[in-house]
Amino acid sequence: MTTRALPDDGDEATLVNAGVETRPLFDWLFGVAVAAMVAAYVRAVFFTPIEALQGAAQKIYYVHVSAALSAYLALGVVALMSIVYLWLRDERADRLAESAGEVALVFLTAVLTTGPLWGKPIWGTWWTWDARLTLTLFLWFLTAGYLVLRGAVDEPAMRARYSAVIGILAALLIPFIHLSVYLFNTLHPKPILLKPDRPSMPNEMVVTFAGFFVACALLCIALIRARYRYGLARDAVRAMDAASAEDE
Amino acid sequence: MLQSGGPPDTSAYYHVAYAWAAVLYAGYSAILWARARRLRQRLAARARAAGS
Repeated sequence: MTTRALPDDGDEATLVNAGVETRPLFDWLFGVAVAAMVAAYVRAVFFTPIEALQGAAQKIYYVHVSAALSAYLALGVVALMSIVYLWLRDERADRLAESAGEVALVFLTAVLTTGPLWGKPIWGTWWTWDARLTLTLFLWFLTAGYLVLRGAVDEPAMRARYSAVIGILAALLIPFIHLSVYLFNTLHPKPILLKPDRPSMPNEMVVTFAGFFVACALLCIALIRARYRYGLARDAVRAMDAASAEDE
Repeated sequence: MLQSGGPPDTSAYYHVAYAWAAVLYAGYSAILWARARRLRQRLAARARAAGS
């Protein structure tokens, strides 16, 4: 893909001088991520055994947990960049936090929709107000709120400051979500891989999960990068519009 | 859902989950592409207005 964040038919040199993003939105990293996702799907669907007790629904684990870890990765970027912004007041950190926040919402949506698709055949219900499910839903609302807040505040410095605080608070929920299955009596299964003991699944399934997680993390990073480049171009255009308005 | 002599047939849920995840990721990528395209059109209109 060679989608660019600026017009090919515009005066490119002028736009470059004006600071408009000229790099492709979707580049080699996105291509690698898509190829990795296709390979992960093929391995999970055709080359991974079906679990004896749960049947094929167990395979939802790979897509569900990979999406959850990728959402945590993106929200980690939001928190880190929010701290950097509050410390240095660097607008690049704010833009990266915004990009990661949007991508985190996509992955959290994947988590909250694939989970019930596993829960229905295994638990017999689409949803239960279990601690982990409820906290994850709360994290989705916080992330959505973070993005809504960004859209609602016009003044850039104020928007960046307010949203940085929300971004840090949202990421603070992640350890509670991870530990919720130990802290509360929940229906949600305890970690199968992310625990001090050996994984509670055969090596074949661990390899499939590892592949899925790497592919998902790559896609997450590629999407954050694409979204950052879009944000860079959008902000430069806004600055050009503001400069034109002042000239008039 | 339980079948005699084998794992339960829960494949419909798994197919929907995999298809939905693919649609979600592809959909967001397409939305991002469309937003960049709108920005591109806006810039092209700007360049045309500046030229005229």
